[in-house]
Amino acid sequence: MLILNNVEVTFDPFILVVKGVSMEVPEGSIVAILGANGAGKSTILKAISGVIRMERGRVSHGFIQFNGKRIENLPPEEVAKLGIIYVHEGRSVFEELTVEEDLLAGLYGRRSLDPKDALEFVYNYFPQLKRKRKLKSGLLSGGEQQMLVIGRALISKPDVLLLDEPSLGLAPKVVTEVFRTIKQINESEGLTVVLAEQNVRKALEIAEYGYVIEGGRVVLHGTAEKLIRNPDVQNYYLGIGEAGRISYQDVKSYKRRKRWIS
Amino acid sequence: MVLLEMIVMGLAAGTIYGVMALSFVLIYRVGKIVNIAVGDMVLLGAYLIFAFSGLGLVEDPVINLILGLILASIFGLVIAVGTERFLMRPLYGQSILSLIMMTVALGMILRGATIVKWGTVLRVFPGQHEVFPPIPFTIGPIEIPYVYLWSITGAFLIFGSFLYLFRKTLFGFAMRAVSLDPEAAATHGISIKKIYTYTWMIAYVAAFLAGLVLGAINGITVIVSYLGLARALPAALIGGLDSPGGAMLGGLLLGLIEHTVGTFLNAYIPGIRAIIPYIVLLVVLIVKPYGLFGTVRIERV
Ligand SMILES: Nc1ncnc2c1ncn2[C@@H]1O[C@H](COP(=O)(O)OP(=O)(O)OP(=O)(O)O)[C@@H](O)[C@H]1O
Ligand SMILES: [Mg+2]
Repeated sequence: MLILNNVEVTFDPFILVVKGVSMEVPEGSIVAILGANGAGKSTILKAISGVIRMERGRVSHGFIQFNGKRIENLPPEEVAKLGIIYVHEGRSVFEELTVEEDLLAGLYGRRSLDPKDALEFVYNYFPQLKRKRKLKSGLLSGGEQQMLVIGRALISKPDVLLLDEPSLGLAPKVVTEVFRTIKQINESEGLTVVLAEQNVRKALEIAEYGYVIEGGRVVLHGTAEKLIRNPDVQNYYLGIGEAGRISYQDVKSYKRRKRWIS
Repeated sequence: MVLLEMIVMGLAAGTIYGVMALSFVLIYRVGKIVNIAVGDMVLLGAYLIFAFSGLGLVEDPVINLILGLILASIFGLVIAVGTERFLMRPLYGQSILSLIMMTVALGMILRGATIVKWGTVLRVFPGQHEVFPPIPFTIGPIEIPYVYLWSITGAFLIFGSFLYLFRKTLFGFAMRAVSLDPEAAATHGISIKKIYTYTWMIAYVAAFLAGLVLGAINGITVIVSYLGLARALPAALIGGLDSPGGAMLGGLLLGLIEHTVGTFLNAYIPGIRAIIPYIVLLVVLIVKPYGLFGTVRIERV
């Protein structure tokens, strides 16, 4: 069980981005974090994974608990070793490594696993990657790169996968395929998934529970069935109702920062 | 026949330039740090080997020197930890310029330390004459100084094991992952600080090996540090700055130019051979600033 209790995230110097978010992610479930650009979805996942520490951010209030252990503000490599793997939005493949090397880099934190078995475990879910295993990962298509980064997260057999907008920039057919595979892994491996998405419809197809975020706060939460029938969700996020279609495909206002400090 | 000998000499000398370039390139590739201290690391290596082999722990002078190299390298691992932890880590996230300035400072600290400890008189390794006999080693008609056998063997061992590590092991994949995207690497349980520390360790050990060879050729004085930087930099630049394989090729090419073109010109302009590396450096910077074997970035549109 992953618990966020009244979590606030502050970036240097005093930029408050997440303003008291509480969430519960039961073991083996898929939980969606929904919201528009800049709502704070990525920041919540980065807070859980410790990645905010590399962007001059920290959990300044509240706590995050995983299986009874406090994990807020741990360095990212420590969180990863606890079995929580964050997958960045925008497909951060190690472009000069081959697909196979790229996957194996994901195994570094769990060197006790046999590399051959681990690779087969991933190829089993993503057969396409096996066919392209000798290719430089920077040369894969967008969909394949998304599969690669998910595969690289899976290879260390994590307990929790934090997926940041896996649908971003993918064709609808590919999105369906990626989401189907996520669901499949969740069911057969008992993997817990936290899924940050703007694609509300797709996300709620596979999630059991969802949290809607606006301006760094939870404005609505409930089971997937309840959310999908909620008039506000239908209106603002599914483009059904009087307001008509809203485009959330705007250019990202914020680019991931490479700078980091200890 | 003279030409053939010059070529062999050039390649032999080039191996150690390649090792120094590897030291430089690794720090640049993984930590994005331009390490101006590389020559001083070479100098420190020479003195430490001198000191440890000076203990005379074993009878045989060859084994004694090798033991000196091993002990110095172990000492180098400790210095690597200190370098990363106390000099570099406080500056991560700062500008490239402050990191360069820090390596300049590191160089001055290392060089200064050798002067404080060992003064400025020229030293030679214990058993220098038995280990590196003045009579040359002959292969058929070619004669090369003994010290180059050390250079070739050492370069082969360190390069071979490094390339294996870098290209075939999880550690190597992790190292390359950190060099490409530290943040993504960290989410997979890869500790960036540890990878940086290991990188400094490899860089120190490579520099120390070069210290043995340059110290044997020139004697151990502060000159070694300038020689080291003046060879490592052009070799690394020719090799494209971020490619370990390119570093070795760059080293070999530099050695070759120095011992062919340089030796020819030396007959007309005495002393010019010594500044050939600088000329090569200038030419490469002007003609091909990213080197001959630099990584071609993959651009997907
Ligand atoms: N390192 C940072 N420093 C300062 N502000 C930041 C930092 N990271 C994110 N923010 C700000 O926090 C807000 C939320 O960003 P976040 O990336 O979490 O949004 P998101 O919901 O993931 O949006 P998107 O759908 O566009 O990915 C944005 O306004 C952003 O500018
Ligand atoms: Mg986001």
